[in-house]
Amino acid sequence: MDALPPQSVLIVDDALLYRRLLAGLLRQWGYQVFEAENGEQALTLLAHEAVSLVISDWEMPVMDGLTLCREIRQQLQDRYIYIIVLTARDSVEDLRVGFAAGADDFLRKPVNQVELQARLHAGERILQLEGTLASRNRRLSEALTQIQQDLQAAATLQRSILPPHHLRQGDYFADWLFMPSAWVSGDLFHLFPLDGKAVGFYCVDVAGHGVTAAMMSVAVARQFLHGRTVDPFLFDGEAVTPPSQVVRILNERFCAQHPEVTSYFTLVYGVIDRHSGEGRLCQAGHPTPFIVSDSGAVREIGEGGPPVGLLEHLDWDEYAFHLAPGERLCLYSDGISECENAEQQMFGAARLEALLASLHDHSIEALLAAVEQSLNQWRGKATDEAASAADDISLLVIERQQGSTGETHEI
Amino acid sequence: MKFETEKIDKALLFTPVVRRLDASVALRFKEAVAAVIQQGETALILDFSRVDFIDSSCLGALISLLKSLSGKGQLVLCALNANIKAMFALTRMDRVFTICADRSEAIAAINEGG
Repeated sequence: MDALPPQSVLIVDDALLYRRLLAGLLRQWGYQVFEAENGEQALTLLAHEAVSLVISDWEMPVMDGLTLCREIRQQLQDRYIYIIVLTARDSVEDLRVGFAAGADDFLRKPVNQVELQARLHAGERILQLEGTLASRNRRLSEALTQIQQDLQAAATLQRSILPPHHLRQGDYFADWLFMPSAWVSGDLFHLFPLDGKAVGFYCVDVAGHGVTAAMMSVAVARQFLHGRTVDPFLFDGEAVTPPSQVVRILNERFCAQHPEVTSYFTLVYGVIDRHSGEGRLCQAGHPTPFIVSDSGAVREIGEGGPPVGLLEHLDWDEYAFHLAPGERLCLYSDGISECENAEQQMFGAARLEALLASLHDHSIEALLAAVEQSLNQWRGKATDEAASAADDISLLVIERQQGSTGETHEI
Repeated sequence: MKFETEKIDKALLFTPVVRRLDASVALRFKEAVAAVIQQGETALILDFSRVDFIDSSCLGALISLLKSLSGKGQLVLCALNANIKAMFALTRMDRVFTICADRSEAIAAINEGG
């Protein structure tokens, strides 16, 4: 609430003559004046009248001036009331007690007119400042509400581009774990059909967090969706585009769109031949993916590569792999490997690899739950605790199953 | 975020004093270095001896600083710990930046670079 223009003054004094004298003076000076005999009357009046300046005597029956100060500070917190206490006391200890009760200023009795006017003006300046602050705070809080609503909308939008759980493409089954660091995240992943012969997959991590990252992840998702439909750069109808070529195309597009390097992303993009299990992937700044065999052996696929959208005219290497039935290809964002515990140690790639290897004979669902629990334990959080990690956490596990006959859902 | 600067010959040594150079300080870090470049420094050494961890936001900041200096000056990084070195290797940014083991090697690199 804005401080009201301090033309209204409340005078609180049990001495009728003195109160009238003061009131007359203030009316002469152009103030609208209210009067009360004691603190209690004053409080009742303040609850209904838009008064922001109070001149109160210290000693009064029923409720004295200092109690009035305390009550005003406690009861009327939505507006600032400037209080000048009249007193014959002038010891430092009295002043200390008065200020502690909530008085803003003191005026010695008998009141000197010039001094009274000066102190009223000082009070008005404070109230004006208070009013400016209050209206600025109100505008800030309105802006904050708007930002929070926008963030929530961005979070909903970002969630909507994540694939459903239990992704199946023929013999290939995938599921994922996603723990966003804030409301909005920039992680993204998918397993999707390219043609009858191949499936494609990607894992993306947009640098930074928040709305900018979420918007960029939506733009990346659009590339992968359009790349199969209106702008088929992933698959031209006859051949599947090599992953390194796809990454090069993405890099040129995002570098051209964002010349100022405000945002870029890391990713792994790859394709797998459905029948042979032969695959190729391109690693662009993303952590190195790995395969867990059905006996729990781990082999990493990839030796690095630059992120996308940082520098123009780059080339990427491609890494070949073979996914045998029963094997799992695991892709994750650095939110997992860089997840810190209380001792500021990172979870690390090796720990993740060992964990997934030890769970090679568990279902993917059980495995993802175990990873989530393990990460929460590492961070020192209970699983049901909503506290978010420092960075977005995502893990996509793709398993080649043994000649299963599941249907292919075109997503 | 705190940082220390020291002029050695023509090189300006810029040392961020922060454990984690991450998204929460990326912008301030970038602006602090950009301000130094704005003041006319063209031979910059970024000393990471006080930094444990660099995240992707700061890598973005480093690239944008490198771009702003391109053709007009030198940017040398030094004293990277094993973690940070691994990150530069994974992202191949070790081929984009001049990376030195320590300050004296970095100063020598600046002097050789003319």
